Amino acid sequence: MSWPIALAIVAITPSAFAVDYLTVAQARKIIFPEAATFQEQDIQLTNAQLAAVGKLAQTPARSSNWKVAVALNAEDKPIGTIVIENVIGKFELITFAVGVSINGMIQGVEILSYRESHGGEVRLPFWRKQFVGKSLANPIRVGDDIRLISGATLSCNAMTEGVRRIAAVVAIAKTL
Amino acid sequence: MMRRAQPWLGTIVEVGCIDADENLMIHACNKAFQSIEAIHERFSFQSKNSELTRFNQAPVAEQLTVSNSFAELLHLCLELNLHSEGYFEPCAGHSGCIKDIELNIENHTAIKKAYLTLDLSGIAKGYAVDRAIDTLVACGIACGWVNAGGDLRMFGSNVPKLHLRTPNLQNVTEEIWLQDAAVASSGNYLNPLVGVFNPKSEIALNSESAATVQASTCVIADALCKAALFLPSSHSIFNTYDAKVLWQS
Repeated sequence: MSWPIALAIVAITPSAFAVDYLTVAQARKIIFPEAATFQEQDIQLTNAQLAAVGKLAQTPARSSNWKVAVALNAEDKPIGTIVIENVIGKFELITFAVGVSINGMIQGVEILSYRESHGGEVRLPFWRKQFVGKSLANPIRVGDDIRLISGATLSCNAMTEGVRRIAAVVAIAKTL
Repeated sequence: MMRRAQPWLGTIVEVGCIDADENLMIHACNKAFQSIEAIHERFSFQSKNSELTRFNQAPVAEQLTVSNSFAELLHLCLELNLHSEGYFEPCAGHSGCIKDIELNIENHTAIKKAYLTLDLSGIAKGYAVDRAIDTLVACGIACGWVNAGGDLRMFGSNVPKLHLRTPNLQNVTEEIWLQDAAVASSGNYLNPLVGVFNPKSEIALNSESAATVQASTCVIADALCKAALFLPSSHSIFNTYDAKVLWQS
């Protein structure tokens, strides 16, 4: 299992808070309701493309490998691209989907899962590893999963940057 | 049940609703996010094109026409500033003070009597949450909630449990049950460098300072949680707005 999905299934401990919002399939349907099918594509950016993405997004491109899904309408014509991405913010780890329409506009951004913890532990590989390989069969969620938290407002700069990066990747890689 | 989240208002906004009809929930959430987006575009301090930015850039001593919602929010800000002895101050950290705005609520006009920079970050999230709640109700949803980074409001029975995140980041509080009510929290502990200032002394709050306020609308909870960082929970402002301080440190 890839770690974005594994991340969605985490325990609520006093120090951490996690929410699953949408599955990839639900997010695809919400962002491109007119799509009939989604065709998955692997994108491998060249060094020149990576540099171009960094310049366009005004943030480092991070990775040269991107998995995207092209949304096709009932006539099999491409109408947009969906990219799933993860960002680590200051206190949170977010998996989200971005839809980019055929004219390069952001069609929608949906958070798939969100995990908040207190600080540095999300950056530690051993801490992240505990979620790899976990599935719905692992009863690691404590208590009820419907919870809301009020506290000082988190900023979502890392995510805003992530959305910009995805728009740039789609533009440079010319997925459509 | 449907829970969705999108980045708006500089934070993460969650919209949730409970209904048997999935298509209705998708439609209602879409509409609620559109309401949030409209508020985001009108009141963003960072955006170059928002009504707020245009207001801030407009010349002093001229009569300025403002939108209905801008006039409504400005009116509330002026009232809150008065009742909070100036501790709710939307110009804090920038320049000037809100009481230098002369608002004509009937004509939707305002005059800046002195140079000032208005920043509605301390109240616009709550206002946006209320508009999104109105939208969910108008769509026919019986039970739902909107949570803009901790400024949240719920309606209907069967609402989720609520916890408060404590400033030491180690804990959340025991469950709180809210029905048809809102809470909002403020504090410096997540963003100590860009956090909350005492509007009178202009000194940043220490990292243990935090406050959570419950009210019937989120705009009031949002605004009063800033006042609660400085005023005791017995202060008359909380009674005036029928609000309750749930956490103060």
